[in-house]
Amino acid sequence: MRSADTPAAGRLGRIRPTWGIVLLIAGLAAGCGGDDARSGDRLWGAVLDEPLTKPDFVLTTTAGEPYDFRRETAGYVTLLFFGYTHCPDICPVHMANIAAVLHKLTPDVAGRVKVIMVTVDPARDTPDRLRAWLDNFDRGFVGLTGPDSALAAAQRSLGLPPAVKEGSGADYGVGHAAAVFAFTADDLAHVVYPSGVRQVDWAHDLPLLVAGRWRAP
Amino acid sequence: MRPQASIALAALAAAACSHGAPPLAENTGTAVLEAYATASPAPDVSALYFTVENRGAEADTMVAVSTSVGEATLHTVETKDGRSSMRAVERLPVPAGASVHMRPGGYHVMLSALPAPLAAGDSIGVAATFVRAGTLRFRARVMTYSDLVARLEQDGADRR
Repeated sequence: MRSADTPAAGRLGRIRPTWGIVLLIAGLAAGCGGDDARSGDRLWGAVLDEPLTKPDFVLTTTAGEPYDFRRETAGYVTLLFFGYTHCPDICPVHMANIAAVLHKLTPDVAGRVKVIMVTVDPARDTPDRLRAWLDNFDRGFVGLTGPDSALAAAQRSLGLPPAVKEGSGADYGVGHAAAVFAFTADDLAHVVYPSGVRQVDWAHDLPLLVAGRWRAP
Repeated sequence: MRPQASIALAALAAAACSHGAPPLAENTGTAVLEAYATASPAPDVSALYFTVENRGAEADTMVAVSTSVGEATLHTVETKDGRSSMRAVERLPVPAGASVHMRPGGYHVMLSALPAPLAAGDSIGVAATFVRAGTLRFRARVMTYSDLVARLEQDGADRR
């Protein structure tokens, strides 16, 4: 949401964490204007007013190994998303965009980025199914699962409302937070990427996040 | 040339320029353009996106969509209390002179219970039924999500 009277704001404007993310979907659509405000080292993602602390949780990888999120991702730019494999739209679009951009970045940048998808549908997302789904995008993407209580706790630790099952029958959907959280080497998320973020946004921001160099809003 | 005809032709030309391709199907002014399905990352789930343009003088409404593979459900995405959810849409109005663009994060057709994964390079048959135009049949090319989004971003940039 570009605004002439707040030139320091990012392309999407500054927002409060968590609930404010909702507003960004509309903001993104409205903010896709010209390129004039998108220069320099400002992030194009949605910069948070208050950064979020990297959550402390241990879940299980698709190989069945425990994954201590804080320890495994220490020092990396870490993109954390809560999604599910029966999701036809938001989830695969995020993963495809991130993968496409990582594959174009130089290895010294791409190698500093970890992508973690935590399932919000553990009943249908078996480890094998989650692994195969992620492999369509990048074999290095980490898929995590666990008991419902642990998955809900991981979401709450970011201030997110835990995902909920919607509808009945085999084809049920899952309502879940649509944003990708980007943690930097300082173990904080200063910026999130809502549904609607584009490949050009990732291509612009990831090198800045890896370098730890962007202009504070 | 009668003025009415030339105006209609000009409108058609403008519409054609905005998409750079003839419609995939058209009847009574309701046209389908740019239909893409996604290569399925899950064995049984995928998505279909297309654009409906109403070149006529009367509103039309899409009331059904089906494909040659699996089940098709028109969805939109709604966000409430921090959660984004898909909601099934029974009727998709297309006002006279307007276009409805299915896009990631908005209207999309969910393809489920696929008998086999869709692969990039394939195409699927689609039938979309409208109140006025009746059933329009067309084919949708299958491409990866990445290629689809890149194409739609380009298309969106052109349009903006």
